Amino acid sequence: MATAEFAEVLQAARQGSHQAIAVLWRELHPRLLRFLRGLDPVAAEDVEAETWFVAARDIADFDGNENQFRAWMFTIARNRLIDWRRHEGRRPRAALTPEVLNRPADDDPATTAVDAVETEAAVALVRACLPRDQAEVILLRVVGGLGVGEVAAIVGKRPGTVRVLQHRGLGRLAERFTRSAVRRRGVTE
Amino acid sequence: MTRRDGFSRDMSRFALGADAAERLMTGAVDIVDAPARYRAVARSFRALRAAPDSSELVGEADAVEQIAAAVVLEQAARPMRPSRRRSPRVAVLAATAVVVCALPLVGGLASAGALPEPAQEAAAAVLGKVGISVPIGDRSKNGPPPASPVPGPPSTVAPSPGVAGPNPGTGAPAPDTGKRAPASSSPTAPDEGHQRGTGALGTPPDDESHGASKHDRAPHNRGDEGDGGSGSDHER
Repeated sequence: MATAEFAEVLQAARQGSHQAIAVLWRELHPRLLRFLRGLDPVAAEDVEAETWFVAARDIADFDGNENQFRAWMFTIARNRLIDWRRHEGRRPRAALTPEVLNRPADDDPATTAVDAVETEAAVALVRACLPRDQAEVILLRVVGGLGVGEVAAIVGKRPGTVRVLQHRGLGRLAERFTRSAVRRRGVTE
Repeated sequence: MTRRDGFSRDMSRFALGADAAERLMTGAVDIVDAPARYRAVARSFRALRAAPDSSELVGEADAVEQIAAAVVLEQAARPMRPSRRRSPRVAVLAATAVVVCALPLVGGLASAGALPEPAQEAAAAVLGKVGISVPIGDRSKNGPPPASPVPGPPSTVAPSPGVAGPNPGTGAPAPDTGKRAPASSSPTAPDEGHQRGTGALGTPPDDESHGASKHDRAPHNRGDEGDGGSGSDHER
């Protein structure tokens, strides 16, 4: 979306225009949902809906370009998720990691991602393989399409730390794929 | 087993240059051009970036309707916000008005000698500085205060020659005061004042600390509501 076009859409959305809000929703809803599912599939739907209502409340105060708007939305989504977890007292990582990581090779999310290359499988892979901080950085960068500086601002870390986290995340994912491939070869042989 | 840096022992095989990592993250590299060990990662990232399919856009109409309604409702509520934002200023103005109105009343009571003794002394000291003579209190009628075995803390009423004039007791330091208290401690501070001061200084800090902790928690909760706000602040 061009800068001027986005400014018009944003202005119309501030007035409650259905068309403008639909444009923003179509652009950001899938991304937000993927991001949130990558961190907490149980809370994702509710938190995403809350994110839009917070945005609706504060959109009149927002001033910025499309990229900044995207970063703003992801910031809201992340904060709402943190808040949701605080209220629910849930720890999905602790609950998910053992089962997911000990799945047999054929049911491995990595395998699924390699074979089917489906978005949901890729989201599940990130969630299953990476610690939360690495998953968050990877998802914000890849799904959110945000730069290192923007991600650093969202997660409250320095850009250098974000680079380190994404580097470790990439390494873990690559290692995971390699292990899965080796395991699959072992099964087929 | 992972090392402290998060990499397992054999992960050095997966070392990746900063530029290559950036291209992977931004999708600037094709899967076939990605480093061999990262092709599956690149493919996975492409799936994460993929355009949404129709199943991901289910419920668009309802969602847009609800968001638009929320935007309109918020807009309708907006005109009330400035008054809430001005409320601290209004509170300050109200407090100022109360003080301005209370001053003549206190002054009148002080000139009539109708205030409680400590307040009367304080009023006498303050008004004495601006040349207004008011009765000092019952103590001026009863003579000098009894010597205090425990020197009091510096009083809020500073010794003033102008004030000490009509009251011979207030101008002279208590016998112990010169030894134990610093030179700046007021000779007019009796035990009573000391105890009152202690009480006044001792109790509220507890209250204040509780109050502060409650107050500190309140913005925390509001911060939950204000996630977007903080985000917007951050983005702005």
